[in-house]
Amino acid sequence: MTDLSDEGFDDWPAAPGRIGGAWDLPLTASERQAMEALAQTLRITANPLGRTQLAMLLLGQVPADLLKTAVIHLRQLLRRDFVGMLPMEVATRILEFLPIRDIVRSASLVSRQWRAVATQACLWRRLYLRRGWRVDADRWAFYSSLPRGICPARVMLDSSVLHVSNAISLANTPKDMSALLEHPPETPRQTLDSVLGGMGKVYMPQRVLRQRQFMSSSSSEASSRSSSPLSSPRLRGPTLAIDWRMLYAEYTQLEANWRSGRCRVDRWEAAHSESIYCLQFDRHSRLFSGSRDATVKVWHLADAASHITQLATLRGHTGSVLTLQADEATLVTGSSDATVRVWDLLTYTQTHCLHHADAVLSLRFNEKWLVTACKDRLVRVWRRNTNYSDMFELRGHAVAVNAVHLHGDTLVSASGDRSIKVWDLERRSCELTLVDHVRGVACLDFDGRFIVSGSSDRSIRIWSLESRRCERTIHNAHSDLVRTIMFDRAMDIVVSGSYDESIKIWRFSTGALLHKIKNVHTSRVFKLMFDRSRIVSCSHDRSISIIDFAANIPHARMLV
Amino acid sequence: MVVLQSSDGKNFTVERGVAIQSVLIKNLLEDIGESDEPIPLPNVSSKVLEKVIEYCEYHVDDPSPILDDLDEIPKRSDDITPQDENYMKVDQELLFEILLAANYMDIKPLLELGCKTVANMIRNKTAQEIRTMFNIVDDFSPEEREQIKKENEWAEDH
Repeated sequence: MTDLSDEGFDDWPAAPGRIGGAWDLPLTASERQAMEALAQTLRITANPLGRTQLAMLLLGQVPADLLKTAVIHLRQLLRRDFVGMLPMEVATRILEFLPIRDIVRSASLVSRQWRAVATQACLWRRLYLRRGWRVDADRWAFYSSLPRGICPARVMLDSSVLHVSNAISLANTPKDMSALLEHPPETPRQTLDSVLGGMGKVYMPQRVLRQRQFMSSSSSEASSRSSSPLSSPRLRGPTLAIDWRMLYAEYTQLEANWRSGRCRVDRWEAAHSESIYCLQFDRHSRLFSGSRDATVKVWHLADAASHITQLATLRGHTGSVLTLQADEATLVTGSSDATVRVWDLLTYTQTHCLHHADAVLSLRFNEKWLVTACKDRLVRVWRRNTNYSDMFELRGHAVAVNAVHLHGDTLVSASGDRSIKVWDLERRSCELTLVDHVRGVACLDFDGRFIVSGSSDRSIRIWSLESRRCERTIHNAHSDLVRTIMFDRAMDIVVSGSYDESIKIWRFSTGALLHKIKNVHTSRVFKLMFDRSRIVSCSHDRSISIIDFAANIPHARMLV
Repeated sequence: MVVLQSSDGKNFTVERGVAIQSVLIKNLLEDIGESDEPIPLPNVSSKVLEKVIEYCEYHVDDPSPILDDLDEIPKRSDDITPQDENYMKVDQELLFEILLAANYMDIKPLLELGCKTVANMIRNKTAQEIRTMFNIVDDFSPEEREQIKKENEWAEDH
């Protein structure tokens, strides 16, 4: 195929058979023989002009009705099989412009050559990446290292192994393997990372590198490779055996599951001995939960079934653990005992204790800042590089500050005074106050451009930082206070949890209700978090629930 | 000025800015320096080269294309300008030759325009309609076709 296309085309049809049977007019054998002899003569007539002249002469003697047939077939000679006969890289570029349904339902059924192009790995890789989808390279490497025939969905290792699975997957990755894999490149979502900290929403090369530095013993190797393709979004050359078409199909199925509400709910009863107020999980399969029982528990959240295994219990707080956030190495917790405690996750020991005047209701940190929201109406801010010694206060809310969120130097706070305030931390000033909620604001999420808030007025509001106003209101989103909320614009999803014991999934772009998930909890929902494949939530009912949209998708946890 | 020579020996004299839209020629000029010698393009006939030059002359002031292999958004083909659309109103044979020439001469915007044009011809057509349009023989066995349809079921609703 390519030898033809590289050379351009002969004046004579390259593949006479291609017009084949259609030319078969009822002729006798001898007539046919004479025809073929003539064709041979034509073929050796060197000058194309001469050949054309001869053909025209012959056509001039063809009766009109047959001439019509001849014209139709002559036209076919001018047709070109663009996908089958162009070089593969050009053919795939053509298909790239088509919607998936055209590639799969039409193009791949045209001919064998078309099918070969329509199933090209490089085509599907590009289509996949262009959707903004990524593969978690560490997980892929880990699963690829498993014995052949073991389906990731069925892999169940005991917790002690899984506790270090992350370290294994990094340390055991052959030197160049991860460089060949597509690490999540620089995407618009990356800018979220500073605010999301360890929320596990965004996976960055830098983070992986850092992880590698303290997880793997060969840290010098890791740092020397910081300019390697590992941190480059533009990777060339061979990729590790990733079936991009399969992953594309799985991602499509995952999105369909979210749309249709096809999920499996698993409940872990009595995860704590009292109410569970806060939780977070991350890409390293760690789940953190804080409870009224004054403890923080670290769990392993299995990739396969929605299974959790306790790894550690952190004790130190003397009151309810109301809020927490973790990144790779650090966990920060806030409590009704009026302290914030900083923990080292490698040793599970407390490294700092920051005293407050009243209960700490919410906290967020990123590389630069630690911010806490306190019942005493103050927001307190620490620069993290001062070892938590340099603190300033932000005053403005009239009553308790219920929730805070960070993005770079921008802080968003929500209060029982019904307002949301946007602060510039460098300038230490309030830049914007958003008022629309008619009762206290209980929770919010923020991605740098949009704020989504939930309130005691039972509504959910979506605010734009650009327009500086409320863009959408979902009235009566729940039948009681909206206690916890998270959104993802790439997924076009908002998930809310309420004192009405339900969890609801909404379209970010329209505010339309997609699903109400019932029977997840038997009491107030306090906190939830989701990633691409599941929602994890906790409640006054002392349980942790996992709503899994990927029960039928083998590689779901690698899709990010 | 740069002289380009087609496969059938015809010379075309064009401005440097027109010629270097072809990365192939740009690299050649950088390697050999300025020269009055015609640059031979043995894979491009005069008919096609004339058409390619027409495109390059029209787009001589365009900003150089950005490499967009990993664009975040899916590529679209409904953004062809009326001029480009008009330029592409040629028969399949010439379109095919233009694509080959754009690929060989490495003129990314023209290659992209050609790919978009073909994609727009394919869009929303059934496999049979595509075969008819491009005069392609269906070489699948019935079993193969059933197998492919089964494999592709996942895309039915999307």
